[in-house]
Amino acid sequence: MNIQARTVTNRRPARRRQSSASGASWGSTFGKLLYLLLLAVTACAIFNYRVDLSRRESELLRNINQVKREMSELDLDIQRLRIERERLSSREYINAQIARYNLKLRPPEPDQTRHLTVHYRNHDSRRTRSGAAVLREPDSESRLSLNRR
Amino acid sequence: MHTGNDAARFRLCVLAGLLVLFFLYVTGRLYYVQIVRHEHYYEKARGKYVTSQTTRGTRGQIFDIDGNLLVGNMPCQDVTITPCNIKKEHDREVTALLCHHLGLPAAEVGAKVAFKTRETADASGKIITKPVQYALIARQVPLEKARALQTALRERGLLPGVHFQNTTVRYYPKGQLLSNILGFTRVEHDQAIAQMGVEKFFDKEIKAASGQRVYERTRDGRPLSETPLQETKSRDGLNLYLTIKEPIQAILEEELDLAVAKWHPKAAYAVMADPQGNILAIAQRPSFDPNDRRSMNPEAYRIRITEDVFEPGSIMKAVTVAGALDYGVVTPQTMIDCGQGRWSYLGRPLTDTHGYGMQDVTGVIRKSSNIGTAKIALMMGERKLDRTLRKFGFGTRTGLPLKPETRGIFPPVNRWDGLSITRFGMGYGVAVSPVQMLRAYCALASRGKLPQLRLVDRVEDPATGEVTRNPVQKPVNLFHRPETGEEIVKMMITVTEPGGTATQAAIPGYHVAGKTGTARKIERGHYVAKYYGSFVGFVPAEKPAFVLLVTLDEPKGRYYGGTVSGPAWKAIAERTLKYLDIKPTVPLPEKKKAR
Repeated sequence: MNIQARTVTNRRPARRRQSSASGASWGSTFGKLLYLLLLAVTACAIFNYRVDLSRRESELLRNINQVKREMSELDLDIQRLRIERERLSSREYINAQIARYNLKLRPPEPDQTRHLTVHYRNHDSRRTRSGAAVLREPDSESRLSLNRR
Repeated sequence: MHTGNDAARFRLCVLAGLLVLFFLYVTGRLYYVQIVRHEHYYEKARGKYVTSQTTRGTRGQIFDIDGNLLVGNMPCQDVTITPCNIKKEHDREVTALLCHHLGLPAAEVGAKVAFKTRETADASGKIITKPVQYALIARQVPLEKARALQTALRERGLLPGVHFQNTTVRYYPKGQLLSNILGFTRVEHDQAIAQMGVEKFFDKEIKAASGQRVYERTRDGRPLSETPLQETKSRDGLNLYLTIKEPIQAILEEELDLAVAKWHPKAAYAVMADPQGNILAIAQRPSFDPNDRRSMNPEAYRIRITEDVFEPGSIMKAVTVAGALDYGVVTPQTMIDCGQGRWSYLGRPLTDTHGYGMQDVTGVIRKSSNIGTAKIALMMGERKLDRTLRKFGFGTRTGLPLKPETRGIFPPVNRWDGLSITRFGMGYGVAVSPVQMLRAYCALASRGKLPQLRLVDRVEDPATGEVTRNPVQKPVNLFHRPETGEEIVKMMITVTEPGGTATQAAIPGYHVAGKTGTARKIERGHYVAKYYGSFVGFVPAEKPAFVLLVTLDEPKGRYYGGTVSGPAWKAIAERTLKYLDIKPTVPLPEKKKAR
């Protein structure tokens, strides 16, 4: 019978030491992994945030340009309408319409005119808050010619 | 003894060596490409994906003094295509839409759409096939039409390959109104080139500056990023505000047209200014519609009113007499013997239409006596007459911003012949432009203050709204005697009163001060039976609102200034007084009041 002398008591603590040592190393590895994972997640988050920021910036720029394009289109419309208004307010056109509808209009005599001056309280908006107009005699900026009945 | 392990180790070493060499090569190559040749490849790549676009500002607009638009820019679009970007199966549909909306012939558009590649020789002479990137379909398409086409293409998914480029076309919303003065432009290489009038004189100010936008593009040419790599902004041209009042201009042109229809002259001019020299209205016939190129020919579009000269005839007499009064040579009561209508000087006869006998100086003006004026001029002497006419601006340009402008014909006093003194004072032998005569009468209207004529009131920068006013020059005082102004005006009032030569120019309720002029024309050095009929004056005489000159060149039927130009003058003045709301200065007859 082969009897080997074993110091069981000696081995047990060693095994315990080994297992506790491996436990510590796993713990630190896990910690490191967790740290790395955290770093990676943070990096990913920053990267994602940066990408998202870029996307939003580019989307905003796209929207700005879209609004700019729409504004320029509206400007073109305003310009076109203004020219159209000028054409329609030309004496030549008005005379043609007067003749067409046989309106028999004639300019007023000087004694048939009265001056109407509208003073706006708010000069910037050209509107009066109360809506009241002050009537004044001749030296006016805006003048309306009214036929006396 | 070599074992299997040694062989494997050797092969591994060789492989590792090869790998090291390969990596060294790659590293070297990377260094060469990225560092050494960086600029070269970077520029090469940039050339491929970086492109530039020229942006254009709009040409400045022209307004009247109250901001009524006289010349504007009508927005429109140029329609172009990139044939290689239009799919072959879409050719027919795209062609049909383009033809339908733009009214173009199908064969022409179809050929442009189908022409997708072209063969060309490269540097080595090898024939290569290149895609066709550009074809112009239509220029200056009205905005509504272009938008309708764009919508139709987008709805059918046919927009790729068709491009709409914003542009403008010079547009004159009032048509013929003021056309000779405003001038016009022509288009050359997408640029407006000013040809005549204010458009040309102020071209430098009105012209827009183009800008450039450099950006990275995708394969189909669209910008890769919304922010350009580099951008130079375009600049819009400055806006001009003239001293013209559009409603008065319309009145003047309507009445001038009526006079032209009645007397069929070869040409006609009318020009109105306030006594401070601000031009309120100015017109000539023949004229043209700048929106209709067919109506344009040099005879119609040249600016006769500053370019042409005419012998003014009797309208010069008021200036001569004003000089004589100011020098104290005569007084309004000085009696002049106008004889029986015929008088000889240096053996050359001078005639009046009637024998006026003894007349005071007022009578000489009222009757427009040639003999009386010639005698007054002789009393003044050459030097004083020359100085008077030059002081009133004859022989010098008015400085209006219109080119070319004539100085007129007025020889220096040392080149006068013996007869000049009797002829120049009554408007013969000298030639003036209508605007020179207007300026002289502005001086009479303002009692001797010769103004600088103004056509441009202010200039505005549309980007900043900054306004630069054209300064009003201080007028030159012409009279030494303060009474001269009133005296000559009183004489001129008699011209439109009963017994005067221009009763047809009288306006009830107002004192009209003016002078008629009828001058024979010279052809090949001889006076012929063709005339200039003029009337120039101002109203109300007491405090003139405006000075107006009307001249008809070769009127048919009658030719006296008071007969042909007087009624036109009256019609223009009467309507303008109403527009300006100038109240009558003398009591109206009862009949007129009742109306």
